[in-house]
Amino acid sequence: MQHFDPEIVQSLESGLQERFHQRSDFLCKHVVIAGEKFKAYYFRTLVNLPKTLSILNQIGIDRKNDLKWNSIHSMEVDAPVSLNELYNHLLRGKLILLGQEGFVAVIEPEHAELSRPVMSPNSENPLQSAFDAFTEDLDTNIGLIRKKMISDQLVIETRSVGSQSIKKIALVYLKGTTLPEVIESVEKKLEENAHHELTTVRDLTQILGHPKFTLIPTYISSELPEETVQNLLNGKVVILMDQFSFAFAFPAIVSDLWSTTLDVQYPLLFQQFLRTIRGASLLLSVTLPGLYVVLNSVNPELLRIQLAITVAKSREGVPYPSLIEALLVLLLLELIVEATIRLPKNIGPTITMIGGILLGQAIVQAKLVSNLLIIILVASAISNFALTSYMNAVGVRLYKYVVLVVSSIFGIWGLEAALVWVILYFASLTTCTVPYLSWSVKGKTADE
Amino acid sequence: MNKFPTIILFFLLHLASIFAIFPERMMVSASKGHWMPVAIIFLVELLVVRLYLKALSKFPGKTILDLCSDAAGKWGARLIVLPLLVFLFLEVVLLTYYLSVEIRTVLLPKTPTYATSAIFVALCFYGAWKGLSVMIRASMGWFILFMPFILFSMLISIGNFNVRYIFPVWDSQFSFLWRPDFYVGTVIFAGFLFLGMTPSHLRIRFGTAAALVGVIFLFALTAVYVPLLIFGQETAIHFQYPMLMASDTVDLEWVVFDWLPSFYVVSSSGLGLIKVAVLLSMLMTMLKQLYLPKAKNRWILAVVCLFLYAACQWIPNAKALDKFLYINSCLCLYSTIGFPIIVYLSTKWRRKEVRA
Repeated sequence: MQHFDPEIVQSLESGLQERFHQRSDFLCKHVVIAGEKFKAYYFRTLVNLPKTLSILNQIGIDRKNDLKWNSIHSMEVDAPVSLNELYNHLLRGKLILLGQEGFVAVIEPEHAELSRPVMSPNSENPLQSAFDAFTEDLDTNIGLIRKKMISDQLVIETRSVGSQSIKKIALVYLKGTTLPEVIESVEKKLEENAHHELTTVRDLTQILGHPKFTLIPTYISSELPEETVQNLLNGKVVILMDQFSFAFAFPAIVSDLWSTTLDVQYPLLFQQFLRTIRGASLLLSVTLPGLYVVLNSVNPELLRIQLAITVAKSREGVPYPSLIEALLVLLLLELIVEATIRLPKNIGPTITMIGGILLGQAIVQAKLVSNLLIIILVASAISNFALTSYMNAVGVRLYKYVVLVVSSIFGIWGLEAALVWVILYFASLTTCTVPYLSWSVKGKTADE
Repeated sequence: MNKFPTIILFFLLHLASIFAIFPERMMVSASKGHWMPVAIIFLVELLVVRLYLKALSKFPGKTILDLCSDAAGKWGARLIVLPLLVFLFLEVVLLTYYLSVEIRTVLLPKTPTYATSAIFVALCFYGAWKGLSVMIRASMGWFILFMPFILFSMLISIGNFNVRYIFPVWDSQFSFLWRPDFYVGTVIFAGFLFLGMTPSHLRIRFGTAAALVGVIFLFALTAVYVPLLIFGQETAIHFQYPMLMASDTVDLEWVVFDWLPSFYVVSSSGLGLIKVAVLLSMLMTMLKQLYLPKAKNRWILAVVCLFLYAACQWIPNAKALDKFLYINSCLCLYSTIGFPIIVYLSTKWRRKEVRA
């Protein structure tokens, strides 16, 4: 609360009117609080005015006793200095009161109900874990983490990024667990690029200076606070974006391809077993289509003669080379995957049925592709989705084609070369000072 | 600081020689008691590695190149390193040629060598371009990917052993010392030179290195004795790829694959890739630091790789390869025995100077 020259207040008023005159949800209302007249400026869509007024009336505005203002914890009173600051306050959903005698106050009002409550996750299916998921509200998300992890080492820094539209983000890490270099590099990048626009996840990775083209995501996204807490304990830095119901843990390392942090909820032996399976599925999903082409057309002599004959028989009558055959069916498979992702839940099964049962059966009977190929590709697709997250799976899905093409030219040597290349590529990746091929991000055990 | 990848790389680089060139040379060099030349080679290696690591440990944070130029000045260092450079280049060329031919013969008889070696050189270029520490990290991946194949292809033929071929076990004349093939076998030493170029926190201690050399010795012995025990010395020396032939003698019912030597080729070419890439990155660092300080790394490497590729096409056949191997063995002796001793002496001399 502050008193200004009435002339200044006049100019503030006209400034506000001018700036927001085309915004239909921007309102100016005459209100009476505790027997005094005020002009209230606010966005109708962000502020719940009747509720705010009734609270204000209950408290009563005592302009002479500022202590009373301060004692009300839900209310926040700021002294506006400039018109620009008033704009920002308004856009962030505050209420501005202009009274007689040059009285100006910015009040944290009751907000309109725009956030959904904490619910169970939509994109993940945890088995044995807490079931609450992040929502869009940043403060709620931070609160969820705080509640899950009671530690004085938990550091939460809130920042604003962007110049045209401002986005609030929170940087969360565990002091003493996360490597200081990692924190430093993330903070440095955030400061350097504080004026970049931040609306999408890709913007975030660009602000953090990650390469534009990567085969695997440089972060792990998670909807579960439980998983995020485990990520924090593993020494990762977590970034929460306002109005985004995912937490991003940086940096991702190679073991994130086959381990989820929720594995730790199971007995150790089960965990090892599950991770081994996922590791194997990684290898299978990359190599299987390539291996099919190799064994079919380039190096059929590798196979035992009985098996080679079976393979050849299954391709009897197929009119094109096995590379084209594989590419065709792979394309079909990708289409099915893409088509089912965004469909409403009640149409999804139809597509699966048409794609899987009818088309699969028909395409083989029409002798357009071989039986074996269908088996191989389905195995490859299933193993692809056995990987830990959808994002990881896409990279693997993509690289499969490289393996396929190279091995159709160079046979088993091409397959080997493609795998060697991907190892070299992984080894050369470094995000936030942590090499991608590290055992863990924590403390001293990291490589280098 | 995790030094495990360095250990793995050390191991893999030696295995690369064990899977190419080394075993057949050892077999040819001795007519009896084949373990003797192998043992002698590894004893010498132990000694040289000790000197090399001792010299390096006195000056942590410095590479061998720094040590040389500190002790002998810029031109002196250039002179000392020159044979090493030539050795590295020849070694890289020979290995690339050897493996491309092997891949063509066994896996891709219809594909021309220039295509297989192109992809080989391209991969090595990529690896060397990313640098030595990337190669060290990548060696873990290599280990996981290739170790099953390596063990498999080494051990499948055990059933066909004829133990009588192991005799005679003692060669009292040390006749192998007079055969040039014995010295060709010293190419296996090239596997430890990279230790002098790594960042100091990744260096391993002599104790670890000695234990590793012990393990590698076992592998080398196996590689020499597997073909010997199957074919006998008289037959085995006539093969160009004895290990490969050995794995072709078995027929495993439970494996879906019929053509088992391909496992051998897959593992030997994989190991060859990492060795060539590491040697190339050493070559690049040396050229950059001592001879061409102004040139960009990637251009130096590109030119070296072009030469490498051209040289591989130029070698006409395996006979010529033999000739080059003999020439290279002199350079190899200098680079792997003489050079570490020079480095050691130079650090010793320098320490005296500092004390005085």
